[in-house]
Amino acid sequence: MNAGDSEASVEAPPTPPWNLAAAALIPLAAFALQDFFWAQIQPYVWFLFFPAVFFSSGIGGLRAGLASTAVSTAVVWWYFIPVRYSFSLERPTSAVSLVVFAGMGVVFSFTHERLRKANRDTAAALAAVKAANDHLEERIAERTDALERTVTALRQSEEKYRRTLDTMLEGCQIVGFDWRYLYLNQTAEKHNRRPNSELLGREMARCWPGITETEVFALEKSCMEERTSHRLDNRFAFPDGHTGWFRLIIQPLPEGIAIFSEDITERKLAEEKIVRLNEELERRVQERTAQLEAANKELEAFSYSVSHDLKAPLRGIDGYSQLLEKDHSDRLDEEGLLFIRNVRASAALMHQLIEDLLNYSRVERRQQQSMDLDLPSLVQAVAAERAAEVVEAGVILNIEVPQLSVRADRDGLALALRNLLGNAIKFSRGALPPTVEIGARREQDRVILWVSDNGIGFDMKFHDRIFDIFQRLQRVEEYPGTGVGLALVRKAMQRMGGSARAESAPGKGATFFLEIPL
Amino acid sequence: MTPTNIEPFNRPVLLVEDNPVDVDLTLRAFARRKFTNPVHVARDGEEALAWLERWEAGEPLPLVILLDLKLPRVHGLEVLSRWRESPISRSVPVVVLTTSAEDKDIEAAYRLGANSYILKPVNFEKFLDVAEQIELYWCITNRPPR
Repeated sequence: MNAGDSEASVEAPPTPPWNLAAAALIPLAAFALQDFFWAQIQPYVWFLFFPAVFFSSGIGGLRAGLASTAVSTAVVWWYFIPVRYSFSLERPTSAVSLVVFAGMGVVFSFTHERLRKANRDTAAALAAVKAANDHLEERIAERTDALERTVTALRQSEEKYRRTLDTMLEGCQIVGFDWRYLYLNQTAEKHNRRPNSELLGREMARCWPGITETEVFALEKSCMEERTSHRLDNRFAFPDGHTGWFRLIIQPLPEGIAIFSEDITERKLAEEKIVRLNEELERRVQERTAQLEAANKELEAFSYSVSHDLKAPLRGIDGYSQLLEKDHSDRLDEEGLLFIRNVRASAALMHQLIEDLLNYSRVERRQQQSMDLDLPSLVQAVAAERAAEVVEAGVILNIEVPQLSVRADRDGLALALRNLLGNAIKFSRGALPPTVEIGARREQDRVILWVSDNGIGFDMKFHDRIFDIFQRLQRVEEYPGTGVGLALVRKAMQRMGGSARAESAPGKGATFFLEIPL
Repeated sequence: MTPTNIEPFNRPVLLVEDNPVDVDLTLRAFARRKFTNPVHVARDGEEALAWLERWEAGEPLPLVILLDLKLPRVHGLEVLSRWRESPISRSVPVVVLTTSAEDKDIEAAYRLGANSYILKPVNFEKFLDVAEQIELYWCITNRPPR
């Protein structure tokens, strides 16, 4: 602020009327006093009037000072300057003193006016300064307030974060660039199995002797120096013998590094348990497989044995009964010969049973070999095998198989078809004429191959039983067989993922269906 | 070593068979077909292998060997493999005559050098046919090395 500003901003206030009155009264009071003490004062006619003008101008300013000067001059001139009671000047010194007084009065008035103005200016300047000061103070207060609010908010926010850090489920440890612990939360205390107070402010390497040799420390060092984050699952062995698994996240911070830890001991133990269980399971599967393999070997040995050992005595029975029949028939009567024929028939049946049984177990054991098969050729090949039988039995065989191709095990499918054809020939024996038909069609995702005959048929209530091994519906002397054929058919079809079923009614013939998946 | 003055019709046949019934029936079947060659019988794997030493000692090699597989002591396949290792018996025809129709037996027998694999029929008439065919082919038609 400068003086110009202050002058410009301060208006001279009009002099109040009581100031003018005082200015008028003071010369009158001076007159009264001087008149009263005139005897002691004379000849100093202006004695009290200098102070009167001084005070008047001091109180009332320029105009009051001038008025007071004028009044005083007039009063002194009239009353005290000789010749008294007249405005005459008998001595020249009186005129000089009068002029000096008037001049002094004017000077006082102007001086006082200037003083008053200076006072006013000063007061105005002071007021301006005070206003500016007040404004500043206000702004400082505002700023302080704002700062305080910010600080409070920051403190609250920090409090909040700290509380979050303090109480979060992950352990949090902050380590400074000097490797001293700066912060540890509650969970870290649990994870460390040591009070945080033991660690805070201390160097990590001193807290955990030997830690500098560990993989974790290497990663922490890398994070500290290269500012890279790391994550790892680590197994800690604590000095108290406890061990635990922790998932660690190591992150650079402006202060150093932060290490977040999650206790995954339970999970790891569960994983280890699963691994152990898996191993156990694997071991048991292997054991079981070995057992099954052994059982399979045993079964193979068994069927081998059956094949060899059961057939040998049969050969003896059949051979010797035939030799008996041929070489010694003259010594046997009709009944004896019948017995021998029965012995041979039984041996033949038993041989057939053994063969069928072996076939059945072979179908069960043999490796499936899937190949593309041309259905009409397969059917023709199987029919050709039985051609002699067909002719012998006088069977009319109709084959109407469309050009279809299937992917299946050739031997298995041929075996099933062979058995069905054999059955059809056998059971249509009594029909006039015996007729067997073989057909096929495609149905969505499978091919159906069927063999039907016009033979004796069967009651559908036996449907499931006829596919069971050793199940027979007819007496053996009427329709010889071992009851293995259809079981073989079903087994062979099941092995290739297909199935077998039949439709029939007593005396109405039978149709057997083979379903081959595509 | 091998005598050369023996004609095929009196060269022996070696039958390796442990079952006495089968031995008897085989001999009878041959007899019925008027087969005159001598038939030597080995009753187990060891006896069969013992023939190797006899052949080395100068006994005439058989025209054909009929070999059962399931034998006591030494299995027929083992016997076959040992014979095939020996330079003396390597070229003697071996007909496997057995009840086993197992694929693995058939494969193994041929792999080890069997010349034929015949299933022993249970029915005696068929057995006679088999005996006749063996005799016809291996003892008359076939010309074995001396």
